[in-house]
Amino acid sequence: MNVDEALRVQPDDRPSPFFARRVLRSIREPAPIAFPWRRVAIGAAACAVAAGTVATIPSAVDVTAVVAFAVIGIAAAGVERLVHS
Amino acid sequence: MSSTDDEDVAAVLAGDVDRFEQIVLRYERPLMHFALRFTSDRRTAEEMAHDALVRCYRSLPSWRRESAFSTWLFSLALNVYRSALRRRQPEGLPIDETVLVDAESEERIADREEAALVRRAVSYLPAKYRDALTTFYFRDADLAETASILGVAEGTVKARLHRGRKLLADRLARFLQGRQR
Repeated sequence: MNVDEALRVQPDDRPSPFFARRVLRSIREPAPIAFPWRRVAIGAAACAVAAGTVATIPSAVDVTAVVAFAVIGIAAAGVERLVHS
Repeated sequence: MSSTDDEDVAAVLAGDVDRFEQIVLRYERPLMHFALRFTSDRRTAEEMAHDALVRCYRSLPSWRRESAFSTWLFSLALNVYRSALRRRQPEGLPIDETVLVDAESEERIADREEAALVRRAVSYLPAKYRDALTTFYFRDADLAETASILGVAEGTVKARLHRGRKLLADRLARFLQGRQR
């Protein structure tokens, strides 16, 4: 068996007659919106850090947690902006 | 007068969506033939080629003209085909198991069947050898273009081709021994 020759053989199949039309119809449809995994991951990370802060220093919850949420929120937005730039 | 890839891409990017038809008509068969090297099912191959062309259209703004349009297109198609193959298990039986089926039903392998058998054996190789062999032979044994499509160095392609051919030869030899028993 000549593997080299066998691998060079091109199949002679053609796409079905309406293939091009189907592709053109598909490209006119809006692209599917991808699930925002990155946003979910950043949000989950922010929640984990906030929960960790509250668990570690519960006495500082009233002030620190509010500040931590604000800082984390701003940082997450900054990270996402960097990732998308 | 027929247009070139560059002209068609420029027209599409300028808003003439209908000009993408020229690209579709030019590449529908090559993309389907490329897909048929990854799957033996015609309908699946057509679906893969369709998805590659749709992805191509949506990614046109990201083509940086660092390589020929066809190189970029086949590189993109390879990624689409890999994803499609990951989503679905390879159809049919692995080559070692087909021995029993084929030995009963066929006495002689004709040229086309032989080519199909080899392609099927290739499809069961580890992905990096499968992709190297498939792309290399599909693109007329052009080492530089194969390297561009795969996004690796030419030396890496050579090594993968060498190892892939060896693996393939071993598996086919085992298969043929099985047939003779």
